[in-house]
Amino acid sequence: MLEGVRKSQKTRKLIVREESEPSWEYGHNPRSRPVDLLMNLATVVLDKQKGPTSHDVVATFKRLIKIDRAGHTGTLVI
Amino acid sequence: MTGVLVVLTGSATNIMSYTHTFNKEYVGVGEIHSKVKEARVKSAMKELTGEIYQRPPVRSAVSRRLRTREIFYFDLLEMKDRRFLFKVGTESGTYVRKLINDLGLLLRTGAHMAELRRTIDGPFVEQDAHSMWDVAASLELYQRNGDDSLLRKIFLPVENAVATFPSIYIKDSAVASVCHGASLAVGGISSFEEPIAQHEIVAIKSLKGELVAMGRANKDSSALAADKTGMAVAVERVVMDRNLYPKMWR
Repeated sequence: MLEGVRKSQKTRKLIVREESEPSWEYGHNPRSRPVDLLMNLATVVLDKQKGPTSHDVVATFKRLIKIDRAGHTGTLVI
Repeated sequence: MTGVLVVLTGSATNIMSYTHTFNKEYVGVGEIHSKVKEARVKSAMKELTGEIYQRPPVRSAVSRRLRTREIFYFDLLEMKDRRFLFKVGTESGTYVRKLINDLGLLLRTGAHMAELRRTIDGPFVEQDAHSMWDVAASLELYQRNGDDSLLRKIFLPVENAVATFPSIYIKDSAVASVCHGASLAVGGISSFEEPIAQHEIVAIKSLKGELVAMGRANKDSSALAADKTGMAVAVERVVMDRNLYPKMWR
């Protein structure tokens, strides 16, 4: 069932053109990105409830994050 | 409507035009306007599977031109009297309310949608979804104890949102120039995921797997593997902070 909708997510083969080593002096592994960077570069899957519109939900979400990240002005738009 | 709502934060919002194209799955309740046998409903659903024509509703944000959309599956889960529970897998931009109205037309009884819940949006499923309370709890836990375990379960890396697009991994030396909007040359590529069609949307990533930008492939996979020179990807949307990697061009 899921395959129909998620059909584009097939396993792909990696073709190496030129081996290259990453430097760890800059950048991050996406899974261990520092929290402040992560929160401004994230995907959050919300479970929307009945009542408020998607727009309201995002507005509430933005407010929630802003309160917790006082002093930061991380833009948070949908 | 309830269910899966994918929210992007900060510079991740730059990729919104791509996530809008995700296929979706919905579960909903419909109501038929007079009693009909289950088998008839099932066969009408079958007729509405595959490529269908839809005119966007009067109250919609897009042009009301007739357009085609693909219905991957449309199943009857349960039926009691005139109410029925359905599951439908659709291409993005399908109006499910319209689909149920069309089902009513096919049945010659009329039908309307009573409830709708999105269960899949592209790579994200209902089981990944969190309530606003979970978000609040994760922030509190982090602020109070510095414990980011829950927060990292909720705030997923932006890379997860583009998991359905083929990746092109570029050398560190090419990252900053792509961040500044330059096209990606074949020489900047370390590796890539096959197959890529010419003009296909691809995710340009660093060797560590960080999303740098989204772009349109200028060559297909075989040319990307073999060509010595030329433009590989036209950058459309930059996601990475341009100061994260050092400038290495002369």
